[in-house]
Amino acid sequence: MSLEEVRKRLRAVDVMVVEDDLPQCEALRDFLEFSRVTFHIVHDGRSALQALEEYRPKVLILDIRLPGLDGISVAQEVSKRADPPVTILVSGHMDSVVEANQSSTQPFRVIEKPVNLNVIGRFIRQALERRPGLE
Amino acid sequence: MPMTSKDAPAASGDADQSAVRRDHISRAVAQMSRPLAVFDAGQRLVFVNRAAIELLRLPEHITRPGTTMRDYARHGETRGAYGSSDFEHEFERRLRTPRLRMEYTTPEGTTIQLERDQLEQGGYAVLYTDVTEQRRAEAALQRSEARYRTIVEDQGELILRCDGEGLITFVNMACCQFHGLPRMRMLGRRVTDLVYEEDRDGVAPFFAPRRDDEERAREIEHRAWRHDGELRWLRRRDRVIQNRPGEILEFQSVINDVTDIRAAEAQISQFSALAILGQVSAGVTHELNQPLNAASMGVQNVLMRMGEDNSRSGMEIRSRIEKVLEQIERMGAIVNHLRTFIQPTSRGGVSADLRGIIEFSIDMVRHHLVVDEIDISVSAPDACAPVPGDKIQLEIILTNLLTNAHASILRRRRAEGGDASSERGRIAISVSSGDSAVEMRIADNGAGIPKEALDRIFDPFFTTQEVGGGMGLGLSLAYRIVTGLGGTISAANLARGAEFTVVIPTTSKENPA
Repeated sequence: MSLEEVRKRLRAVDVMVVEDDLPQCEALRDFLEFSRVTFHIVHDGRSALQALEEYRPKVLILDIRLPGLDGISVAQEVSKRADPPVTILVSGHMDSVVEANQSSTQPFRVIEKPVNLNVIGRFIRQALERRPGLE
Repeated sequence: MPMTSKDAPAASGDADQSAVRRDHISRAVAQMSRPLAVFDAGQRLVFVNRAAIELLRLPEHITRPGTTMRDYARHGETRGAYGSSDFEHEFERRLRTPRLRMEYTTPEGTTIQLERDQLEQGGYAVLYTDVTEQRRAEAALQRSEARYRTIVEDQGELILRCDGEGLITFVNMACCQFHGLPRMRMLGRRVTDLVYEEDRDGVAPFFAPRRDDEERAREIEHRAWRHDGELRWLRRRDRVIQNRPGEILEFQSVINDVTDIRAAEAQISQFSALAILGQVSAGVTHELNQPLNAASMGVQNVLMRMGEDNSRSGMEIRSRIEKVLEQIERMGAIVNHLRTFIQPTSRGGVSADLRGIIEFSIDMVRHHLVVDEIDISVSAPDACAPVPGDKIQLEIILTNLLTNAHASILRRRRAEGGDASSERGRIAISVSSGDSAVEMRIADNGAGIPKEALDRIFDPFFTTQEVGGGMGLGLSLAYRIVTGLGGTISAANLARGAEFTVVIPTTSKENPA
């Protein structure tokens, strides 16, 4: 195992959150800490695509409305990559999700705001169980 | 002239005096501006004054006393006094007429009115009047009146004139048609009788004298019954003609039926309000959802961290925080509901619990039904085949149909003039679930749907409620949703009231949920 690979694995997280609204980021951080999972938070779509390589999350929690590149575009981009994370879109309303599902070959998991954290917790647990850690 | 017979038996001293008096009188008559001629019993000219000579253009030889009435009349014939009739025949006829009243026009266009009276002692007195100007003015007035009438009859505007007392002196055809009354039955009536009872007090000040500094023309809108019994909105512009403050000659009203315009205006403003609401709502729902989501997650975090604290105080705090969370969720539901009202057809989803949705929809309007003493009954199977459309869409359909039924019952009550004697309001919902479709019927015992409205009842902005009542969007929204779900909605009148039938195909076969 090369040094590079070790570094990547050290950086790898369970969950990556893409959310531009800081109070929501803070609440999610609180929840993820409490849930004892590792995570990384970014605030826009382009940063998400860059950070994906570095942090290689198993779960991606993605807000739909984001500055720059929107959540659906990010999700579509992610789905093309090898070994993509389980992606959960978080939407203010269902309409845009219905559209997204119609335009994409891969339907996304979607939850509507205000989110039920138990539902997100369940998603995360299932994703981590199905894909046991690389370590 | 009566004085001659009276003065005849007088004494000699008196005779001098009476000669003086006679002379005085004949001078006065000669100078009189009113044209006059006098003939004796032998039909000979006694006297013709200067004014008459000038008006009749009498040549000197005709003015001499003793001129026969026939010669005098012959001259008149040359001046047009006999028109085209045979002179001899007409002269004799006139002679036999004790009180002759006639008019003729001279070759120069002067119109002369002639009044000839037989005198007690025999003979005639003839008075002439130049009525040229008067007749010309009248003819002009008649012409303009005729023209005026053509103008006003040709347009839809109601035109009405009334005198200072408010009694109608003129109405045009449009006015007669609107009120469904013949012209003769409207003339002389009080103008405010044509105004809707409740609006009369507001209109009355219009028919009052105005001070000099006040506007002579005013505008007001009021209601009036149309001939077919429909209450219409009229916009009247009244102009008062007064010769001096306080003395009114005439009111002139130009009236337009603005019912449709008013409805259109109200709808336009409602429509643009709705359009703005639609534009704003997309942004607002997103913006509201963000803090709501943060608050919701924050509260959930608190609950999670409290964990298994089963102490008494811990449980009390937990129950309070859970109430906060419930309210946050409720706010989220309202925000999403608002979105759906704006864009009702863009949702997916399937609903299986139709009965629950019906109950919820009734709850939304229950307060109004209770207040207005309307009974509602539901007959639905416990389990229905799932239908397309999410809960909110089906709720919109149902609440709109319920609101419509409620309004219809109130309309019937108003029409029957009170609620005491009226039949109690009733709304019945019945659902039958088949293999391929679910059918919902919503029946009421209200006023029913006017026959002419049946075809248009699902049109956007069509409403049978008074302006300012329903927006006219409810049923069209229901229609859009139902048809968007592949179903049908129809309306029919019952013996008493109306029934709406909604048929939605089930999802069980073609599109499994």
